[in-house]
Amino acid sequence: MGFSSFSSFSCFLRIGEMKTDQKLGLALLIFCLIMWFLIIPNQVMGKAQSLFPRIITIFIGIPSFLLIISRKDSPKETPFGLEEKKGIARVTITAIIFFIYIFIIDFLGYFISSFLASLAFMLYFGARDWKKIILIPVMLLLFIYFLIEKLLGFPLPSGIIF
Amino acid sequence: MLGDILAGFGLVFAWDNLLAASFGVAFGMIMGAIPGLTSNIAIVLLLPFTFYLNPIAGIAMLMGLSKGGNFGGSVPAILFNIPGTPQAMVTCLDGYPLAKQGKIGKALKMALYASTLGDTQSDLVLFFLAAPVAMIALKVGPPEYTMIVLFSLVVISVAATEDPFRGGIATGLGLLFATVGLDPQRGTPRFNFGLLDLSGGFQILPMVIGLLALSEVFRQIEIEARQKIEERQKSAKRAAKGYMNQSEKSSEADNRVSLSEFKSCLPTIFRSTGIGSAMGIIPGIGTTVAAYLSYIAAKRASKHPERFGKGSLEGLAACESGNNAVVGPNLIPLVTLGIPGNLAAALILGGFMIKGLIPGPMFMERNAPMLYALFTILFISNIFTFLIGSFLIRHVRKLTELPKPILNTAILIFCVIGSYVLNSSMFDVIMMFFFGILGYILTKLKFPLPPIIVAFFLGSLFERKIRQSLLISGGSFSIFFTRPIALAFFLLTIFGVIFLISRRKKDKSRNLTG
Repeated sequence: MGFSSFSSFSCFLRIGEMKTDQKLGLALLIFCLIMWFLIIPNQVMGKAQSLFPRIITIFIGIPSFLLIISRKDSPKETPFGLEEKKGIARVTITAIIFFIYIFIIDFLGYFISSFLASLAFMLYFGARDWKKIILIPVMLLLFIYFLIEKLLGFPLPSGIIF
Repeated sequence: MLGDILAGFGLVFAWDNLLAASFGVAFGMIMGAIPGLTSNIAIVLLLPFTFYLNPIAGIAMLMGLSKGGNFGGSVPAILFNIPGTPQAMVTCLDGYPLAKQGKIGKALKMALYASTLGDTQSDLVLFFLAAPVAMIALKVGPPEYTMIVLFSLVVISVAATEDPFRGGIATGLGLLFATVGLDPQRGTPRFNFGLLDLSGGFQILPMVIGLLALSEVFRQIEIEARQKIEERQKSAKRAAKGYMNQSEKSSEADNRVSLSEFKSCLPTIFRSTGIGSAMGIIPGIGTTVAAYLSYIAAKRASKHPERFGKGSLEGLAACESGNNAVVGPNLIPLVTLGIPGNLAAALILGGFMIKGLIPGPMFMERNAPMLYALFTILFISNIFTFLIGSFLIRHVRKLTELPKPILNTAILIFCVIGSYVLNSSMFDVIMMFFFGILGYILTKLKFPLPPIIVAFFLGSLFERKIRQSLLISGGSFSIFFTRPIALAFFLLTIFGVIFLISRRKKDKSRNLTG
C-alpha cells in the first residue's frame, strides 16, 4: 500500500500524464496549502477563530489527496469534442450578457435593463418572432412590477429614467 | 388534555381562520414555485399584516405559507430541474427524470400525495408527542448537536453522491463558505478580503439560486447547443420546444398515480416521515437535510436502488415526505422551549409575539387550548395544500410547452429578482452570478452541488456547537466521546461510513462480474 501510494503520488511530478481526477486533486491540494499558509493567517485573527477553517482545510485536503492516488488506473479519458466546445462557448457568451445586465441595473434601473437583457437573451437563444420578443418581456416585467412592487411593496432598483 | 383538545377545535372553525389558512397555502405555493422567492420571503412580507388578524388566523396564514411553499418549490424542480426552494433540490434527482420521460403529471401528483401524507403524519407527531419530546430535547447539548451534525454531513458526503471523494470535497466547500463573515463567538471578521458586503457572510438565497438555478440554465444552454450540432450532423429535423424532449409522448397512465404505485411507496413515505419528524424536532437541522437523509434511506431500503436518480417514484416520495414531515415537529422546540427550529419557525415566533403569545416551557400550561387550535389548523392546512396543489398541477404542465428562449429568459430574470429581494442588495446579485459560474464549473467537473448547500446550512451551527463544547470541557475533545448520545452518534457515523463504503465496493464488484 505504501509503495503503490508513493508511486502514484510521484506521478504528480509528470502532470501531463495525470488523469483529470488526479489533476483536480492536485489543484485542490495546492488550494488547501494556499489556504493553510497564506489565506487563513492573513484573513483570520486569532487561534480559536482559525481552528474551524483549518479543520475544514484538512477535510478538503484528505479526499483531494485520495483523488490523486486512487485514480491512477482510471480508464483513458476522451478529450472535449466540437459539440462540447461549442456548448461551453455558448454558455460563456450567455454569462457575459448576464454580467453586463447585472452591471447596468444600477444605471438604467431594474425594469429597463431587464427589458434590454430579455431582448438580448431571446435573440441569442434563437427567438425570431418580433411580436413575441417584445411582448413577452413586457408581460413578464408587468407581472413582476405588480407582484413585487405593488402587491408586496418591495422597491426594485431604479435608474436614471425608471 | 381531552378538554384542551376540544376547546382548541372550538377556536379553529371560523371563516376568517380557514380563509387565512387557505390564502397562506395558495400564496406560499406561488412564492415557493418561483426560484429565490420562497415561502420565507412571503412570511417576512406578510408578517406585519398578521397584526390585523386574530391570533389563530394570523398564525394559520403563516403556517399555510410555510406548507404551501414546501410543495410549491417542488414544481419547478420537477418541471425544469430548478428547485424553487433549497429543500426541493433533492426532488430534482428523480422528479426531473420522470418529467423527461413524459410523466409530469405522475411526478407532480406523487410529490403532492407524499408531501400531504408526510405532513399530516408528522402533525400527529406534534399533536401527541410535543410534551414528552420536549423533555428529551432538553438533554441535547452542544456535544450531542455536534455529533448529530457530523453524522448528517458525513452521510450526505458518502452516501448521497456517486463519488465519495467529490462528495467530501463538496461538503468541505460548503463548510468553508459558511466561515465567511464574522467569527460566531468573537465577532472578528473572517475571509471578507476587505469587502464590507461580506461581513455578513454569503447569503443562502443567492447561493442556492446561483448554484442550482443559474448553473442549471447554463447547463441547459450547453446541452441545447450540443444537441443542435448533433442534429445537424445526423441531418435530423426536430422542433425543440420546452425543456423536455417532446417526442416523449405521455399517455393517461403517465399523468396519474395508480393505487398500486401509491401503495408501493407507502413504506417509503412512513419511513421518510419518521426521519423528517426526528430531524424536525432538533432545531437547526432543517428540511434540506431531512429530504436528503430520507432519500438515502429509501435508496438503501429499496428493492430497485438502481432506479434512483433515473425517475424513481420511491425516491421522489421519500424526499417529498421527508422534507414536509419537518414542518410540524419543528414547532415542538418552538412552542415548548421557545427555540425556533429554522427560519420559517423563527418568523412564526415573531407572529406569536405580535399576538402576545410567548412560547416556552410555560406555554403549554397557560395556553393549551390555543396550542391545540394551532395544531388543528395545521391539519386543515394539509387539506388546503392537497386541494390547491391538485388545481395547480392541472395547469402548470403547460409551462413545459413554452419555447426554450422564453423559458431561459424568464428564469434568468427571476434569478436576479430572487437574489435581490432578501437584502435589497446588488452585491447579492453579483454573488448569485459568482455561484452560478462556480456551480456550472463544478457540474462539469462532476461535483455534486447539494452537499455544498447542506454543508453551508449546517456550517455555522456545527462550528458554534464545537466551540461551545470545547468551552464546556475546557478545550478537551473527550467531551464528544464521554457523553452517551454524542458517543452514540459518533459511532453511528463511523459504522455508517464503513458500511456504506463496503456496500458500494460490493455493488461495484457485482456490476463488474455482471
